[in-house]
Amino acid sequence: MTAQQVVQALQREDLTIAGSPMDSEEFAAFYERSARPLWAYLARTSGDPALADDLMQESFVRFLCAASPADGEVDARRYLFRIGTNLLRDHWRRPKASSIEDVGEAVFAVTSCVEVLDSQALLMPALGKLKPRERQLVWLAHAEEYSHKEIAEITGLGSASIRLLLFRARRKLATLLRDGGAA
Amino acid sequence: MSLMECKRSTDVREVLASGHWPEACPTELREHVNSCRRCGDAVLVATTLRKARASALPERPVVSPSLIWWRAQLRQRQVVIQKVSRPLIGAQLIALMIVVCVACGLAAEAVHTSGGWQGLVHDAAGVGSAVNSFVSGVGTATLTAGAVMVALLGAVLVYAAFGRE
Repeated sequence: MTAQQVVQALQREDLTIAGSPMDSEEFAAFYERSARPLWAYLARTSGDPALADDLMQESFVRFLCAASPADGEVDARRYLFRIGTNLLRDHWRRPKASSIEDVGEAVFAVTSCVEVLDSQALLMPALGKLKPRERQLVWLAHAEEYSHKEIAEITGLGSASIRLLLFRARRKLATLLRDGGAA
Repeated sequence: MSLMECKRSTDVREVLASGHWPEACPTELREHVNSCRRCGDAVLVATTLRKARASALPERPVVSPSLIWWRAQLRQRQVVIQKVSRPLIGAQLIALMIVVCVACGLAAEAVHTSGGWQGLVHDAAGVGSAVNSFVSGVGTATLTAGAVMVALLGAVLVYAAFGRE
């Protein structure tokens, strides 16, 4: 990028997102369709709705800024989930908060009984007993209905190992759900 | 723990994907699911997670897409500005180093001409005479050549920095 190109880019009032395959209207439609499923995935696998809010926004910003290889909405959504998965992994790798000021308010929030549906009341403790990677796999496979190949692309795991890992995670979750999340 | 697929797992997946489970599902498949651990696990996990997904969707209002778009634009502007400022900072550092070197040379010459630091303090014209002696010692032609070299190096540096982009 030459200095002249930089100045032109900065002066343009309707600066589009370079590298993004979408304009603002296309993005708005894609966002409406994809934001909540992505949020649900991030919230259920992390167990932290506030964190899911942050990671969802960051995922979309990175999606727009990246020179996206996505071709079509299905590819775009898979790419978005991959970004979200990587952000979640980075979050888990980071050292845990050690100060009380660093802990989000959502951690202390009392969940309303109305919000907790029966299935979720059983599901959340059961999901909490799975490893983060297992939560991701069962969610992507059974809530988002991705194939093993797509899950491999999203998580970065080998496609050969997805089948075994998913089988174990599914069996573990089913056992926990049958036992009321207390196994 | 056997990894062998159940023969009916494809049927179960299709029934789940089409939303026919459990009401529109054939009776014999329902009986199979009740008797097969693998298919039973798949149905239990899939139905529970789909319910959780459906209930999570309207749970929280999402921020406006225009806000996300604006944030992405802002970040891209920052990236562009960083790309531009990086070679400029490099050029400024090199210019600063040249100025410091020249200043050190002049100061050393001034100290030498005045016969030490005390002489320099007393001799107010010390700096001026140092400049004169520096120019006469090095030579006008050499100084000009040096300035041309610095200008050329700077131009090459700027070209290399912007050319790579």
